[in-house]
Amino acid sequence: MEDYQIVDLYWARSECAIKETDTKYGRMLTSISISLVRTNEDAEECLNDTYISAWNSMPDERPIYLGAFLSKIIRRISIDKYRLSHSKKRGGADVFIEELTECIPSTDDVQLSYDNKLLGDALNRFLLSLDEEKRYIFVRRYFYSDSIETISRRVGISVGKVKTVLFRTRNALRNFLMEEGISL
Amino acid sequence: MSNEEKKINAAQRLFDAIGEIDDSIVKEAENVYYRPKRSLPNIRFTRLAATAAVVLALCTGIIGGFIIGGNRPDIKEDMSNSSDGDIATDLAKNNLLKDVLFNAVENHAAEVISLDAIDFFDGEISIIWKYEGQSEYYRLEFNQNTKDSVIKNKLSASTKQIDEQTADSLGLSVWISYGDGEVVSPYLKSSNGNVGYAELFDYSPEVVPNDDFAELVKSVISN
Repeated sequence: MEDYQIVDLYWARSECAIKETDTKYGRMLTSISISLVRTNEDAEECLNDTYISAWNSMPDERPIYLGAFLSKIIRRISIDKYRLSHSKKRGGADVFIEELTECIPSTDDVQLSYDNKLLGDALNRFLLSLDEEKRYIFVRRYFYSDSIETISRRVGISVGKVKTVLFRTRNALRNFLMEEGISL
Repeated sequence: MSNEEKKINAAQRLFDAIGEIDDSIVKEAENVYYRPKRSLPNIRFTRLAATAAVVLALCTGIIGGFIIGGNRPDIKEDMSNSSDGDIATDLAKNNLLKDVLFNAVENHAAEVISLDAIDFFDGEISIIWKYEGQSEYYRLEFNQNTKDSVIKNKLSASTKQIDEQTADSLGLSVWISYGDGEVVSPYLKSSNGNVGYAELFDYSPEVVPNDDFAELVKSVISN
């Protein structure tokens, strides 16, 4: 079923909306959540919360890309869940956050204030400045929270090459944020 | 708060902000990535042709550059003039099997197996694949209802020739083990010369696997 057809089901308050959503996007959404929360039980909870959120937001919302719309919801829910039940054990979102520290300028005076909208716009500009493959790899790693091995299979390149691309892209993002004068 | 803690906090905010990137960018990365075909610049062949012409002219005294250059196939033109049934010009449309196998790995439907553990004489028909740069093999057994004749028919139906650039960027090798020692690949033309015995042989892809075969593999996964 096409995205717009599923969205129409939400707008019509049809019970089939969730079923169709789960059929088309359930596995993808679960995959995003598991990478962040690390347990099947928590991922299932996040998925259910995502469907509730989707049900409550449509109508009013009419997303063009339903998959992206839902991915953002489950990602947000999963990160919040992970932080709530965060343990000292390394894993989940911590892995990705640790990598992203390389994007933060190494100054002695890292400011705490930032403008969220400016940052979002800047990230879009940065990502669009990359070539397709680099952008794909970066988004799969830090939005979809894929493992390096998964990205390697998706793109058809070696694990080493994925790591190299990510390393260089993180450096490029750091330089970009500095040039834009964005403080985090 | 130490600078290290400030940095972690800043990275957390960055990680959160990545969740707000444009929907179109998120959508673009939703599916398996297919590397764009690199188009060879004509100038390379023009220079090659010119060099060959000079050599030929020197050797034979004939202006061979005209002959060589005129007969040298223009790769771009060749691709665009080819019939739609012969050349796989859009990998995304014609490589359903790659997607199906990838999903089998992601959904843990495929068995992870080492090369040593593969039994080519177990009487079971299975599809085995390996991604470039990784050491693990993946295996999926065809169910009892799928006769080898069905598989062979679907494999032999593939006639879409794979172009060199697509073949180079495939990133995986795939074999079918018939359980009696015979091993073939869905990326090779069906012929006696392409049948291996009790080994996962190296090969250069020749064809794009038939979609019917990919659908068959998909149905095995979902059962």
